[in-house]
Amino acid sequence: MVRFIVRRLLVLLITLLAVSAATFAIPYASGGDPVRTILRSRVSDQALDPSAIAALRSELGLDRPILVQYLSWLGRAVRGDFGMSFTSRTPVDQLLGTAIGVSGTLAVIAIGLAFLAALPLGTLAAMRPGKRVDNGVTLLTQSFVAVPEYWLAPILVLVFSRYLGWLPSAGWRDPTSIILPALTLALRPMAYFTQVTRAAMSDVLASPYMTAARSRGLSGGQALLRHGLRNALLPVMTLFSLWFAGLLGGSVVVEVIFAIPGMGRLVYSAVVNHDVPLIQGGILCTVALAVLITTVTDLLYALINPAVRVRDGAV
Amino acid sequence: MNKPRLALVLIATTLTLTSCGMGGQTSSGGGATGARSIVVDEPFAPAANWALETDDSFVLSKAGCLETLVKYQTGGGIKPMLAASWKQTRPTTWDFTLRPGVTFQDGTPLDAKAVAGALKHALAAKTPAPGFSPETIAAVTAVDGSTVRITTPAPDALLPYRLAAPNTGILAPKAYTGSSTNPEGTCTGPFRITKEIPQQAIQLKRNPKYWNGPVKLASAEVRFIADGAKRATQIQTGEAQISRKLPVPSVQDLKGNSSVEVLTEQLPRTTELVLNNKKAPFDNEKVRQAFQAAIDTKAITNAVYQGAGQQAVGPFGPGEPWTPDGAAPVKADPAKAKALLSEAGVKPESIKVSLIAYNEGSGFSDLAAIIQQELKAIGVKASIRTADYASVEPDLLSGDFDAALLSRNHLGDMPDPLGYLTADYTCKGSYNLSHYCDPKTDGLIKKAASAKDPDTRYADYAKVAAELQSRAVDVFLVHETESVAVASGLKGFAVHPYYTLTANLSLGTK
Repeated sequence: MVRFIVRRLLVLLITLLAVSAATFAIPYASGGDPVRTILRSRVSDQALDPSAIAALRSELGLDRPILVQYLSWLGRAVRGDFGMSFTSRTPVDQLLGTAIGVSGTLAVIAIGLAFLAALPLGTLAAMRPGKRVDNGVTLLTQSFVAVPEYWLAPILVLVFSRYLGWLPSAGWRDPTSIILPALTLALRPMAYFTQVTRAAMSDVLASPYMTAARSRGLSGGQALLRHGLRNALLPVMTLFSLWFAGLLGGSVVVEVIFAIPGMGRLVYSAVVNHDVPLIQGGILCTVALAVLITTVTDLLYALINPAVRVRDGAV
Repeated sequence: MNKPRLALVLIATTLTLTSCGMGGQTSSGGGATGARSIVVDEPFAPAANWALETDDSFVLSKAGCLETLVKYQTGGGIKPMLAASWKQTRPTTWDFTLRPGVTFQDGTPLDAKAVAGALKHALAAKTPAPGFSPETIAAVTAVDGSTVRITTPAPDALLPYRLAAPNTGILAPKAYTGSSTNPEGTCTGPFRITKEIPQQAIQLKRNPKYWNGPVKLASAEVRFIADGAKRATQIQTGEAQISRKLPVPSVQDLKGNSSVEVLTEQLPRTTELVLNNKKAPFDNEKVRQAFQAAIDTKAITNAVYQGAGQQAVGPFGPGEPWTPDGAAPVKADPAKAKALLSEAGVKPESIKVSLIAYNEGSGFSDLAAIIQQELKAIGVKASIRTADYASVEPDLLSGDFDAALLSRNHLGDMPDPLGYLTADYTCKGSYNLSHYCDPKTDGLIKKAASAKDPDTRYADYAKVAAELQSRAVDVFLVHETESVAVASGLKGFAVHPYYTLTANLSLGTK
């Protein structure tokens, strides 16, 4: 187990270093003068004062060689200091804190909704293979997989905000404003979770230990709850962690359409404005969280399935 | 794996979340509710922690919080605001007499010391606003309790205009004591910020001690919604009462809605085709005029802007005080364009130009495609290059391009086009993308800058504008407009680049 965690930490470290070096180069790789872009994000006038450009370049330390800038940033980042945003001059960790809180809440609710809907739907389809329910669930999930968020979100707004007037069309203010973006984000993972649950549950239902459980006198429902679900959950969990990690990084489309101040919108505008400290902090946090979540999932996987523990020698 | 180990991993995850700032503020809050409250949807959120030298000052001014010494009136005029009067006592010295009895929202008096301190703070910014920087201002001093003296390095007839820009807004001394500017309770305007929801909204309540009479609305909320279609939706659902900067398709959609009024006003912004005057073939005036004659601005206005724009008559739009009398759009005439090319001794098929259409320009790819077709009609081959503005700007500034589409605000720094003309059309202009250089134009602009009388100055600007148009320095295409949707029942609203929430706004229900 210790070896497993150390290996994962090493992977995390190498990934973070590679990602930080790559993101540092973004403003320079895209051409143009990063200082002009930063200044223009704060002042809409296109004619920039040359003395203001020089002053900002010096203030931000962008007149130094790029390697020196990178190492200086890395030195501070190791101590947990991501610096100040170039455009807003606000500490990066403060900006990220707010945004991760928002994206995290949205991700938890969206994934939770997807999970809660997928589990019964997938199980039901697996229990009635080839029947109407199964075909209906398959049709539904395949349709949901194909629906893009940029189409679904305006449709939901049109129906629930404009015509019915039940829900707010944008913002991040009270529980009602979470419903539409969470639904938009939940639909696709729900479809995937359902499909995977159905496949896993089909295997489980056909396995000898389920027959053995029934022969010991357990009802169909009891056997399913005590033995079936636990085993069928394993592949769903893997998928769950991947989606969760992805959503934590924020969804640019959904966050822009619903005016949600999450990670996706924050990092996107940072990239547009060449706000290097914010890009770095945002991407590093997202990558770190993704690696940590998959690590936790692997550990949970072992907890749920003893066979994994024995095979990997994790006990 | 045992449970304590699992718990350790979970704690590590939690710690990482915390280090990434999970402990930061979470957004919450309610909207402006009640019959005497309104919601305003704006496209741009504050981006620089309320630094007044940035566009954040415009957000505060539109929100009815920040005020300046001088007020800008639509149409180019100025009138007193926090300053009751002003006088040029010497060529480089102006004295501003403050309006008596004005207090900041924190109760402290608006006196000369506070005003001088605020203006000095604006000058001390590391990247000051172009219209009010140490290059244009030498010193600011409090002469007595109610007089502020501003000296300039050279005679500057435009100083009062500079002091109308929101970048020169006045906040109470308390606003500048922290690491960043704090406008909460430190403005003088009709509305006081009570809560900021980062990147989402600011909530405001009326200032009961407003110096310019009672404020009719009780409260308001300004929401920052980047998506134009969403701003239009919010006015349809009744979630907002004013939605600014609506996209053209939404305007068409809203026109059939009886509960919403759409107001469209001309902006001080023109879309133009910048021609590189120092590079062949555009170093030849006849060729530039041929391009001007070949491009059908009427077709462009209808096709790309769907009528939400006006055919350009030059750099300035019709109705502006510095627009030449009788200025009219150039009529598209392909035959004349061919004749001009012939006069220039240039065969159309020998011209191969590259048009830059930067991605951030609204409708620029469509615009470039139409121009490409119109040039093809006179035998000129044009290719289109699309890229982000940041990546093409070095080429634009260095002159390594043929032609480029550009959307340009001519009142960006102050309510007077001097800064624009100087930057874009003088030989040493910092944003002279057309690389146009004519000592006669430089002389006219310099003369205008020193004219105390606005009419004299405007006449000089008009001469420059006429020159730019007649010599086809650039091809001016469309004067842009801004469409604002207003809920019916809202009274006292007028589209203005600096002010949205004012003391006169009312819902008319109570």
